[in-house]
Amino acid sequence: MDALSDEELIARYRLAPGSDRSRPLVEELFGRHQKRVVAWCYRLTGDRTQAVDLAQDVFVKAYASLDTFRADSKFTTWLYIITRNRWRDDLRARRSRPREAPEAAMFDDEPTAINDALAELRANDARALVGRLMDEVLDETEKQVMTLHYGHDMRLDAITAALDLRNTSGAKAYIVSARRKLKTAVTQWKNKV
Amino acid sequence: MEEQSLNKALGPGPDCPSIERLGRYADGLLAPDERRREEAHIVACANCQAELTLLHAFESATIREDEAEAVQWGADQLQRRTSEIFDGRRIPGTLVRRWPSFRRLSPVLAVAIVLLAIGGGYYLTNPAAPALPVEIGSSPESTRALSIALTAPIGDQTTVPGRLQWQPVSGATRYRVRLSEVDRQEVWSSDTADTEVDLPTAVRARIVPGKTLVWQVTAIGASNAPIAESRAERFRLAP
Repeated sequence: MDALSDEELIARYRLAPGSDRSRPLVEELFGRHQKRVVAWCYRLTGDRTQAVDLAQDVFVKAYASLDTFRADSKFTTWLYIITRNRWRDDLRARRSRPREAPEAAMFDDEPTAINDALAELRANDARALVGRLMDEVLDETEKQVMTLHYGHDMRLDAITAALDLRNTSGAKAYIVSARRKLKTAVTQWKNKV
Repeated sequence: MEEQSLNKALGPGPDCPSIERLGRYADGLLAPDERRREEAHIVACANCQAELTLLHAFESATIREDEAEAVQWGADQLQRRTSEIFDGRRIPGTLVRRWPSFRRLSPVLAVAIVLLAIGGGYYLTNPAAPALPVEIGSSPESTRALSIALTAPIGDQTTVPGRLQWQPVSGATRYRVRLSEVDRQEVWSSDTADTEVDLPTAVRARIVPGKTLVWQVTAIGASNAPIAESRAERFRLAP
């Protein structure tokens, strides 16, 4: 069975979906990707117990949807999308929680120059402005860290792991420097207009 | 408040493709004109670039040393929950159960039993040879995923590599080659029907001493679906 590709396992599973006969096929399939999903859930949540719960949800959803897998993407891509969507559902449910203390404390003394400028703009204009200024003043890693943290709601530790950053303080160093640069750029932009 | 403004400015925009479409883009499964259209958006969209970075990181399945113990513990815990996964049991309070309760299911079961009895009776009075199972796995696209062996370059190089080479995969009609920086930022990608591809001069110019690059190859079959993928291998020009 381990000679079969992911897609072949699913094709065989579809001959008798949900049956005892097909269960070993799914066990093999899920077993191949178990660590991948657990690792990702651990990064996203930062908590090993929450990670297992989230991973369980991912595989329950994957199992329930397996007969709808259309093979118009790789199985790992499909599994990533399920993991991402389940995590976002979970995140929305936890939205009322305050951001973790270390991250909030890190920005407490930051001025609100960026916000003041953006608040005066329409959404599309703010988006274009931030995108342009980021291109101008941030390096690639700083841009990625900013986008993952603010645009994708990812914890800084998760970003450090996902980008495999090896510097001492990981994503925190990049976001501090990115915000400082962006603040300066926004101030200069405001002075011009 | 500042964070809310940045969340909006850096979140997905109205023109961003769906995650499913981005996934097909990442897998190299969009038609050429669709791919060009999405590429034009992605090049200018930090949010979509970040989403693709996450997808690549998920696929590479690299587990850091500081995560290894927690991941192994989690995988062991998940293994103990196998029966719950197959029963469709989710974590209480997070989602509705997949299956209705037995009490709600019982009328459905009763109907099913009647239908089975009628069908079984029909089968006993009209015996027929069972259908042969569909043959799966004998096509040329039955290669196991993650089975492409990358040949060169791997590890420290004494000169700037001019070409990427790998072993052929049975059933592959083309290969998609992706060269990235270690943060998964794509440097260059290309499709080829061959098992090697020359690096353009502009890309070779970016291979400087001490800078590590990562490359990976995906084999695409006749049905335009990926059939195999290599490990992500690293190389660098020795400092």
